[in-house]
Amino acid sequence: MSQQVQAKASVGAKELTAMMTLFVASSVFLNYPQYAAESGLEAGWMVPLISGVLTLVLFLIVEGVLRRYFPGLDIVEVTKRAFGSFAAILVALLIVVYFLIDTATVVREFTADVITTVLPSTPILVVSGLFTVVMCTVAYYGLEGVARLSYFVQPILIIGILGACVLTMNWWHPVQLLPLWGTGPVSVAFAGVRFSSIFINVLLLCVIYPHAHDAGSLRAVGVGSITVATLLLTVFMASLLMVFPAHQATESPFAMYQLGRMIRIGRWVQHVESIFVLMWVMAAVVKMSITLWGAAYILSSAFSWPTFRPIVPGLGLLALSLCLWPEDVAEVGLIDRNYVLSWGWTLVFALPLLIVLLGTLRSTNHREGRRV
Amino acid sequence: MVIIIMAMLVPLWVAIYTWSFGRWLKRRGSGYAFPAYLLAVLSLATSSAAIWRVLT
Repeated sequence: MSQQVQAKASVGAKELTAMMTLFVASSVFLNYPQYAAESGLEAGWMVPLISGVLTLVLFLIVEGVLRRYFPGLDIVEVTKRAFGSFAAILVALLIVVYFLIDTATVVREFTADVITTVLPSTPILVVSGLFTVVMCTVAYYGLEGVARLSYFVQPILIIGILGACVLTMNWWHPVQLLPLWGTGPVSVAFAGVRFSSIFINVLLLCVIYPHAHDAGSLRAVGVGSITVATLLLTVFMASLLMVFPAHQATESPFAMYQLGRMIRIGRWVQHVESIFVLMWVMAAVVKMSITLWGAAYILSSAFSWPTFRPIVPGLGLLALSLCLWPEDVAEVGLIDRNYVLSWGWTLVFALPLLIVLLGTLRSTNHREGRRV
Repeated sequence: MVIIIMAMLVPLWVAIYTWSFGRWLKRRGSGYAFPAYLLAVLSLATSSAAIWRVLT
């Protein structure tokens, strides 16, 4: 079926690694640093580390089972084969709704970031509308377009994040990372699990599996992207908490922008936050395009459509409408924190794991039944 | 009012485009056409409500 939806899509390992890394690492531009700092205080830097390790373990399990029992199938096809068409459509709709809500949340948060920092008098409809047009254009070109754009943007983003950390070195106070366990080991570990849904790699793997140029390299893609993204988030959180005291870091919804504003090295290197706004926009476009493409592709796969492209504008419009529905960005933050991030792990980790494991059991039972 | 009508042109075009996709699917007999129609109606309805809410 995946061949039906997008016959020629075949993406290399480097591009896929860039895409997955970028998707997770771009969380530094959103409210994630604030939530991590709130949950762990001085140990906020451990939150992404715990999430990353958890994701890595789950990724290896799902990848191993997919490679062995369902080679060349995406999550909808695995569900269809194991549980039938009705279950496949149900699973696809669940994932599509999650991807749409995630896209809408990110559009609204990035729009609020841009309006608050650089375009205060521009109407929200104009900024979010422009974001939607760009993400629809990128998603329209399919996985190849998104992955190649990610490969192009990745070095800029990595240099930007590490640059913000290194250039604020003169403000670092390592003593602010003490007490080491912040809110306590249990609380930090719980936060690591709770916010692990930013690592969408496990679910993305189940979607892009049939499109990898070399399916054997997917393990390296997953391990590489999770490791790099975890390190970037950890280093960023540690820098943020060394520059701002933990309680102050919890009050900033735009951690990256605030860190960028602190850069002041002599007369010539200061007020460089405008560069970070440019990076924001690039990261936002890639992040939103990935989830929009994922939603369109999964929907096409579930309903056996020969192409996903004609529904991209419709889904983009739906995401735009959802993003404009909440009254203000504080309400979006609450929805994101209390529902999307806190419960996202059920769809990002638990669902693929459950489908793949139960599917394997059912397939094995069928085979044994035939033999008898 | 003029601004709302102008803003509604894009959702209307998208709805027509998605609806045409549904008709194309039905004509071709490949896959279910109903979800495409549903998506067209849903995107038009939600975007109309959102635009009305933002611009009034």
